[in-house]
Amino acid sequence: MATGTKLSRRSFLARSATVAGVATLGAGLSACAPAVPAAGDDSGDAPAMEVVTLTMWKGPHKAAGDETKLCAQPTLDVLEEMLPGISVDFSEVPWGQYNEKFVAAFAADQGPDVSYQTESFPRFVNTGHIMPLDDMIESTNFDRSFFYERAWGPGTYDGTTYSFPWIIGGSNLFWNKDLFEQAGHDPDTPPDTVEDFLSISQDITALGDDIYGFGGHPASWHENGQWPRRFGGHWFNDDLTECIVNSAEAYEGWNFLNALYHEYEIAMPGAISGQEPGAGGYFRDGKIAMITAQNVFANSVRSEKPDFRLGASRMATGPAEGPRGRACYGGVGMLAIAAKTEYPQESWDVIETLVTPDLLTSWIGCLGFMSVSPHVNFYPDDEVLTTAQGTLEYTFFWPYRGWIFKFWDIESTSIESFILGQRTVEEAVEDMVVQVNDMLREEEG
Amino acid sequence: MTSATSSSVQSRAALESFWKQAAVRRNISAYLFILPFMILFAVFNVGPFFWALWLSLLRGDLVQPVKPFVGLQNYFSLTTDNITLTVFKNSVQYTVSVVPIAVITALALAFLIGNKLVRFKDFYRSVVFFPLLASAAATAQIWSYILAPRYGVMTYLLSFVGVPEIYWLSDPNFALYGILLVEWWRGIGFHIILFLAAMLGVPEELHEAARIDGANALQVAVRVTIPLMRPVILFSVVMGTIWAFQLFDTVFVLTNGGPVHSTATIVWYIYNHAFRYGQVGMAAAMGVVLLLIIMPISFVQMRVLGER
Repeated sequence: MATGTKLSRRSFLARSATVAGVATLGAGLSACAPAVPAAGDDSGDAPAMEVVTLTMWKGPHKAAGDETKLCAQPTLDVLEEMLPGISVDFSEVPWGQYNEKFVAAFAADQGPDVSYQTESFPRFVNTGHIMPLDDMIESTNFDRSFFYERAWGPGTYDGTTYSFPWIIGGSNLFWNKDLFEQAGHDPDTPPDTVEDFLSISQDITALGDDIYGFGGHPASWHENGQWPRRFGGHWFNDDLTECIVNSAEAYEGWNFLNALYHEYEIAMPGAISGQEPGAGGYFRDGKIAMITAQNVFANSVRSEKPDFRLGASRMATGPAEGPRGRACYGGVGMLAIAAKTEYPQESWDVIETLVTPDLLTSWIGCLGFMSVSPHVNFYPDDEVLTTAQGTLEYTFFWPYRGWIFKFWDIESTSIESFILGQRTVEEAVEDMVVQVNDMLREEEG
Repeated sequence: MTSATSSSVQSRAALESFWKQAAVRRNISAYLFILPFMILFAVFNVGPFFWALWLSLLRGDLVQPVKPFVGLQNYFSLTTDNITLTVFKNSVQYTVSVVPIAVITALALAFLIGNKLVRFKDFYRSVVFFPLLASAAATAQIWSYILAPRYGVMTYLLSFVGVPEIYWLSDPNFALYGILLVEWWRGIGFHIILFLAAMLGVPEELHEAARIDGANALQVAVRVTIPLMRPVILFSVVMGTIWAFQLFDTVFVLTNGGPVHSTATIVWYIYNHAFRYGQVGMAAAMGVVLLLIIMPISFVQMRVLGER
């Protein structure tokens, strides 16, 4: 008769607990250990070409997943054929998580090799997470004139170039030709001055049926902040140390914007356009006749309503002279390389290849943005988008600084407060200027 | 010399005796069982707490390798920032509104679902619990359409009873209540399930005794069932309060703190400071203050509601 070892309940528990403890410690330690590289394929006789995999992150400019499927992956497939030793692991980072993901990644020195950067990228430059590109540009004799000259500005910080321009976007005036016609106006002639703009808006609003001549989101930092510029005002002094948007000229712009809502009542009330489906949705539904929006908006209108009679042009001019009178939002999206990348040369090869005319068209043209290069026209056969490309000269970039998000929050909340009738224009603007100047002083300090 | 040696021997003996009798040695198995949890707790809770305390004394961006030490400067800055005061006011206003509403309505619905005459109880339990399982961001997006002024279902339904259009998420006077409505819908299932479980634990004999003594249904509920559910109601109130102070995702998706900061909450502002404004020290200081608010409130709730 065999005698088995008798395991008491207490010793069973003790052994189980020991195993659990050891397993936990083991798991913890293994997580800290560096990953072991996967073994290469050594089955063939010829040495396999070593393929470097680069990570690339970008905020999406289409519905989730669509940019990867329709624009990015087809482009990257071509790129990988052109650069056989490189593979790009591309990820769309939703805008809602953009800041936290980039901040967390760079703070842990795990930032993507190649990244899409916008206005806030100086915070990564200032903290040494973005690689300067001047040496690469010189050593490869890259022709800087390939891009619009002003497109280099946002990626140049303290005289050093940190990024490649890749996307350029700007706002235009879009209008509904049917509503123009119904109000007795020429559907192909946009307003030339703000007086024309007001007059057409009044005629269209007079049509009734909950239709408004103009509309916008009350908290849109893209668009609302352009009104003082159109009247000759400036947001900042030249060295960005003081907010001066409470000048007499700027106040003319603020008061005009306020009057559109509360005196002339030709703008859809902010409480309505501030909720779904938003000013863009109401425009598509024929409830708003004119809107300023980024040029990609044209594609979304036409894809949802193919029969929509859409007009696009530069904004009606205010009293300010030159392009400032027609000021609209503009912005540059850029390609940057992480300072801590293990593959600086390969990362450079990727960004240099992505801005070649064919790949630029394949990705950025696919998204519906304007071309960042005067030598590349994405939409030669599209009248609306060709017009939109021509309005880039009227776009104004917000300062590319680390404090831009805080500034936008102050700006949008202050403007929203008078559009929604919570404060007078003067209360809102003066408070905004104080807040922005406090912020600038804090940043300097 | 002899005295010193004797003292040393005694202390060694005392030490050995301590370890022989020590709870750690006697219960080593139990401690090993909880070791995995304790390690995770230390790594993901205790460590970050002390790190946050340290961060609250620094100035700078999270991505900045070296952040200067500024002492209590961040705490002083909180007292002079108008938006900080607004977000604390909003969070308190939201909490004192949502917690009683959620607990009272959940209690009423739990009695309704728990009623013997009601059939398909499991179905109703699933229905009320379902919102909690769905992604907050996704449900918030759906609610943004439901609460829309012109085309929204809510506006349409309320028009039948003569309620004028309400700008649930774009009127600064209403927006916090729009958020409250969405969060009430999301969270009420948790409270109902807790209350239903607690109701099942009340002995049936007590109900019968009360009925024999002539109590009607309302009196049985108020005098017998609810008092016996007190610990669960207390738990519900404390958890509801903590969650209310931590409100973030619904606000982030639906209003992003607007209009005019009317829905800006403490955690929303912490997020902005940490990830958008590059002021992680301020964010950490606000987190510490939030902790100092929640702790005494929870303590008072436990004392008041816990008393018999």
